[in-house]
Amino acid sequence: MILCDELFEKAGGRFQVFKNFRLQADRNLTEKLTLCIPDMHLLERGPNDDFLDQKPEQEDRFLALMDFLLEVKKEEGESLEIVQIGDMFDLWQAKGNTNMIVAAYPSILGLMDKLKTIYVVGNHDIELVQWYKDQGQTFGRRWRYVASADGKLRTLFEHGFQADFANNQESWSGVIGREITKVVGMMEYIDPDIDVVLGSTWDSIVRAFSKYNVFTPVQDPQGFNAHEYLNFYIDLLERYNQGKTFDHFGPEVLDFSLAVMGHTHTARLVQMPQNGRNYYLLDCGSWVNGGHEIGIIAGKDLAVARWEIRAKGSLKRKLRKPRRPKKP
Amino acid sequence: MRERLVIFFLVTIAMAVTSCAHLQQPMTLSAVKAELDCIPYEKGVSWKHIVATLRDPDRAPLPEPGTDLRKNTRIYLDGIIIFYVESQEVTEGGKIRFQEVATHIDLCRKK
Repeated sequence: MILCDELFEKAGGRFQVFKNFRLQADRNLTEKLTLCIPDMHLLERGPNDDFLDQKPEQEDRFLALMDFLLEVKKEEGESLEIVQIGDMFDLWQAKGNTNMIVAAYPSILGLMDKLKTIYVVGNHDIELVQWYKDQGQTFGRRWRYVASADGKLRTLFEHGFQADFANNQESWSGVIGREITKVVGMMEYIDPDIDVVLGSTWDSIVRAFSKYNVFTPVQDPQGFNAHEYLNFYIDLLERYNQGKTFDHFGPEVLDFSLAVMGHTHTARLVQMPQNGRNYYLLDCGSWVNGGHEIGIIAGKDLAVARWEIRAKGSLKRKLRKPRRPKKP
Repeated sequence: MRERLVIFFLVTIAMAVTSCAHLQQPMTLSAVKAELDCIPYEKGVSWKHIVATLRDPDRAPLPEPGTDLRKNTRIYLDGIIIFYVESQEVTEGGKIRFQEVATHIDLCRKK
């Protein structure tokens, strides 16, 4: 298995660590180089298609990433694992279902299949596991995925809507959230950026509540939250580790340390000690509205990187004008 | 105040439209075909078989000058075509890409 540095070297400068999101865990989290592709929200290329965002270079950027990963796959084989963490399709806003989205992006979807991507379901494409629920047809989608290392289950991949009051599709609040999102989606035909504007407004409200700690002043007296779903996922990992699960994992293999998610469209990498051990949360970011992040897990190595269209600095060098000779 | 009213109006319209869209349930191909008479197109299919399924054509154009009288075209104005499409791997500029290609066609008419 290759680690982050080697991957970055292979990419020739096209992977750039996002912010300072890179750390070494205290134990191995995967046995393979595992890449997490976050929310894409593919649509039919209309004005509400947040993946394309009316910028064709975004598709070229993603295709270039797929081309690179195909090269890595050729060398690494099964040691490279790619997980799409959900919301690959935006079926809430699609004209029909996946059909015309497939027509809009045949290469993206073909290359992801060719790379043997593992698909986790998100709230915007949850229909894929609901259409034929009775027949057990899920089109290869999973609710969650787990990766192991050193013979233990260490990493849990889940979209993240499960932790979101406004988007948990198994609750009434999620149904309301879904209808509001559809309305906003329709409004994008009038103003394509309305989702970004309203999203920022909503985030400001949530941030204000979280900063002044209105709801939970006792549990969290500092009024600070490194990630809004951090507590949810650390509690979930702890419950798993205590064997409080309906999944058929033997207690001897339960040793979860890392939760990998998407959903928020905001990349983050958080480490948090709890009950004598370290837990980690990796939010892989997004490929919508110009986002181009990817989560990377390789052994103990954790990072969020951005895939750039060209190696950093190469454009500058190319376009740099020749210096004028100094005047005598 | 006027801006708020416009936003309220837009939200109401959008809600009404999405609610209506909800009423149209997506259908599977078999459900769609249950309402149609269809014949799968393949080279050499008998014309009698086509007429039996799709009924008489709406237009029978004159043969073009200089062509064989026994080579003709027939036109259905309200026919329904179903394309079966699949993703196919191609190479473009040395890179692997995919494109959708039609593999079969069904010619149909409402029952």
